[in-house]
Amino acid sequence: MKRTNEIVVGAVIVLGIALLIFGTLWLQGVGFGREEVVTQARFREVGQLLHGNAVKLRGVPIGRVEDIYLESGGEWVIVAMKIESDVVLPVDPVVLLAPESMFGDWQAEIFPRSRYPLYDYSESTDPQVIPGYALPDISRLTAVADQIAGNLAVLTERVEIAFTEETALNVRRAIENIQEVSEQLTGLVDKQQRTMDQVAANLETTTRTLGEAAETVRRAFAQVEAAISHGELAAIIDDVQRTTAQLDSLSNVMTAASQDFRSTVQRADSTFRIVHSIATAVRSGEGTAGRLLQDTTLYSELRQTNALVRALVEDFQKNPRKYINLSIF
Amino acid sequence: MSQAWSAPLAAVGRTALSTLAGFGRFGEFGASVARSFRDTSTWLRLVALQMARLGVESLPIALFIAAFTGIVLALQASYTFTGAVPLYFVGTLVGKTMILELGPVLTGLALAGRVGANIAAELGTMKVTEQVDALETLAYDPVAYLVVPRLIAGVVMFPVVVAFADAVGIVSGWITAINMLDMSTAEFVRGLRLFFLPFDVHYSLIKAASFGLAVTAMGCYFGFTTAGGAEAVGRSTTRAVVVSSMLILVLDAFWAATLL
Amino acid sequence: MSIELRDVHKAFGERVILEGVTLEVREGETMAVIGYSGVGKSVMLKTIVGLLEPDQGTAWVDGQDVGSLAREQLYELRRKVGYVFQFAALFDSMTVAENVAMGLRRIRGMGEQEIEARIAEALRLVELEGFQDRYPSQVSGGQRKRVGLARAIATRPKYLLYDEPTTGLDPVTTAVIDRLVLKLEQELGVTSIVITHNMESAYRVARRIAMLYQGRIRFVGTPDEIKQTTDRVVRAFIEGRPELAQEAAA
Ligand SMILES: Nc1ncnc2c1ncn2[C@@H]1O[C@H](COP(=O)(O)OP(=O)(O)OP(=O)(O)O)[C@@H](O)[C@H]1O
Ligand SMILES: [Mg+2]
Repeated sequence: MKRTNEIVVGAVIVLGIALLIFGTLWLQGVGFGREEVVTQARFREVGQLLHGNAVKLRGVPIGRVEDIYLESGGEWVIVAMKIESDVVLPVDPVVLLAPESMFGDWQAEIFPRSRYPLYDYSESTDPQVIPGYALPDISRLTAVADQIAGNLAVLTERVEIAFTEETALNVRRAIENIQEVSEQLTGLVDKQQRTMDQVAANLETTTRTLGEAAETVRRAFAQVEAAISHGELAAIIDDVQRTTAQLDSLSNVMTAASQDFRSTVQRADSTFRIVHSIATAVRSGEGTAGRLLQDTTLYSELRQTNALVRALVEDFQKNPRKYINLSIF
Repeated sequence: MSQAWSAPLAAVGRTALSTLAGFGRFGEFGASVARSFRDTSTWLRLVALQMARLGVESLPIALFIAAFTGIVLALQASYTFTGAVPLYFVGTLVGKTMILELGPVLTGLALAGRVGANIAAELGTMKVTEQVDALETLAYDPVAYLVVPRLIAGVVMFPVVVAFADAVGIVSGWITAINMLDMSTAEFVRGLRLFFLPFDVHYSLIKAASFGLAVTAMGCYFGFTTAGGAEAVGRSTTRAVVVSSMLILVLDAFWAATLL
Repeated sequence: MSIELRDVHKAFGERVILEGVTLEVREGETMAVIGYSGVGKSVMLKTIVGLLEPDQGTAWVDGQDVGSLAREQLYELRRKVGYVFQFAALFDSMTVAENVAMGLRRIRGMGEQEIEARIAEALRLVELEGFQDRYPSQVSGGQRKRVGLARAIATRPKYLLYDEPTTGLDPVTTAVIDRLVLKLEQELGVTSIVITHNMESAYRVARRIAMLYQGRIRFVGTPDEIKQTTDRVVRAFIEGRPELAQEAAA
């Protein structure tokens, strides 16, 4: 009787211990029987990364964070990652730390540096140690978003000052037309550029094309004139007409200016597209924040956008005429 | 001295003194346990029996409770997490709650009833029927013979039982999640692993061991201090269950405050 | 070497039970202790093995002061003393054989076979052959008592303390137990104290009889002496005549 007790108790204890060990390892996400190697990465700081967080490559979990410690001197952090040994890392890899989801757990993801070249990676003298960078967490993203919203507000304000209340309606229509014009001009410039190599040979054709373009512009402004009876705009139209009259000479200047001009237009255009898409995304509500935050590229886009918007605002402040006159000539 | 105000004061004094005396008796009991630990030849061969009785035989009730707790946790988690919170958090909640709190505490409370009452009633009966005295006359140290094996069995087997309870609770939560909620195993496991730390398991086991000590110590203490007859045994049993249940909750708070 | 109580006092709270009991049991002697129910006979017996500590006074067994012994020495001493409880105090989770074996397992170097032989012998002496595998709940009150007796004598102790070993037994079994007590005294030289209410028994087994009365030993003497005593209290008790005791009190 005593014997059986000992056997039963022994069996239960052994089973319990086995359960604990395997349960713990399984919950930690340890792959049984897989070869693993430890790879290190260096960071300025590691946000909320913890021992046991996932390590991913192209979104696929390939290991987990094994250890996090300060490099001697305390200036840098070394993160040791246990990675499946058969995984081939990209050439010139970098490690980005970012939230895995909105709920606080972080991950370490390995990328080729070319994917996100701009970040301030913590380079190491040891070539075995991968440079790394910790993306700001949700609170900092919010701060950046706030900043962008502020800049957008400033921009809107400027636009409101430039176009007074009274003319708002007309101007909106004018802008529509101007947009059309600028599109055509863009097309024109495109064509211009493509034909640039043959400028000498096809000067006549080019001139004719420009003439047609000028004609289109004139027609467009005729529409604007028809739509607008206000004095201020009449002046602008005058200005435009005067400019249009100089269109012949413009064709010469155009070739030189086209490059510069095109890039400005494109920049403005793409900026507004990005801003617009963000605004739409933000406005579309529920779940969006989570989706946005899961995309680690968002931050860089936001930053780039912000820089563009800021540049645009500054430029606008400096010479607002450029934006009005340039588009209208 | 007027009776009107001296009586309540006397009552307070008496209560304070008897409380102190209680602590004193428990301290004495603890000291005798510590002393009897050296008497290995007496208790060593009795531990297996107590482990079987307190631990192995408690598995069915502990696992029954754990299974239903797992089901309820999964269902209530999904009820709570409508909308904003992703459903895989059901796995997180089931795992965390089971391991950190409900596994050890519910098992502890159930075993306070089963094991604590059993010990107090058994030792109490032995005490009032002079079986404890009989042990003494046969040159057995009753503390080494009766108390030490039970304490050791409690401290060793509670964590084992809780380990099984944790596992069963999680598995039943998982089965509930994939059958009754719109979840996949992968989702549940993702949630389960999300915030898992090996420390959680240590914490669960430390709690379980302390509960095992509390339950068996209270059972033994109240059993051993039984004086009288059947009624006294009943009173001791009730006290053992009540005090060990309270101790479990106090220890639960204590560990949460000190270890987390 | 003997058993000796010197001026033993014992009270439970306000209730004073023993008020200076002094009694000497000589080596190899069987002493019967008689006294009214509730007078403190069991309490007295328990102080001898250290189950109860006297408030005052000392108990000496085998030349040692029981109260002054360290735990190890006390347990060592208890190995030499067999104690038969008034209500048997059998371990009810164990079979009769396991009960009897408990004391035997404390004897170092005793093999399982010898233990079994000793169990069989002890059970035979109390006329309970073949009861080994029964549980205490499966035997009668008188049988339980005899199992308790078997448990006490199995280790062949030097001293035996019987707390009413024959109360509740039929006359024939009582005679058998009495004969066993005598046999243990005569063949093994056991020193013993027998608490009893049965005067027949007392006269049969005891070399001397002591009476405990109102916390003290009222009388000590041989059976012949007690039969001749003029002490009305003692006479009232042994003859079962309460009116004598009332006269004495008056
Ligand atoms: N542990 C105890 N706590 C409190 N009182 C006790 C205790 N043991 C005995 N007593 C009291 O001491 C008194 C003597 O008890 P004891 O058992 O010695 O009587 P007794 O002489 O053996 O009587 P009986 O012949 O009926 O067995 C009783 O009144 C009993 O109530
Ligand atoms: Mg008695």
